[in-house]
Amino acid sequence: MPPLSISLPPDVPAELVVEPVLEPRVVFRVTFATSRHDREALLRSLTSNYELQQRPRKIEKIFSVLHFAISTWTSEDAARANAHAWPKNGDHIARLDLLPGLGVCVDRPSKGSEHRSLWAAPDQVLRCVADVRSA
Amino acid sequence: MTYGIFSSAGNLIAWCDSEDAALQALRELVDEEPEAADEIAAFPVTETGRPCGEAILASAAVRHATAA
Repeated sequence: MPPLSISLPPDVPAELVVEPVLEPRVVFRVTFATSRHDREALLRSLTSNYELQQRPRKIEKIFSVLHFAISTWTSEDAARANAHAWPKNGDHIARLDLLPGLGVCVDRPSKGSEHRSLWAAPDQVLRCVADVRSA
Repeated sequence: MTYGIFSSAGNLIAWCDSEDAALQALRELVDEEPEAADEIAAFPVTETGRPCGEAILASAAVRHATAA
């Protein structure tokens, strides 16, 4: 039987704000795709842990929506730092020009954070890929 | 320093407020899912969440604990 109540683990915020994209905005995603025409690799890198059939872990057990999200960055430099920190995440940076009307949502984390969780069907995000550069 | 824990797909799994907390979280993840030991890593991030150092694989966190 599941517990009747749980406490938030340390470092887990009490709430998560999810906002629809209502105006054009730009985020960046680490990828193994080498060009914006590399559809197969882009789709593979635009998938959530849930879509990859990974079990929910840590914060995903508190906020299941994060299990369905992909991590993006608000600057190319931050995405590049991600690729350099762990090359297994990818060796290129995809610029995503997010457009309203595609169902794309992003979180609103603490002020100043360069990380954004993003929700959308991968094929919709694929339409937003404007450029791919080497990391 | 804050650490972010990510899957090999590049998706966030946790934020931790110290290296010790990150290492502990990595070990817990391996306990629950040994086959994912090389598919999960933590790396330090700046106050804006930007990665600023090399990743620590979950498998390395386990080896570090075993050797200590």
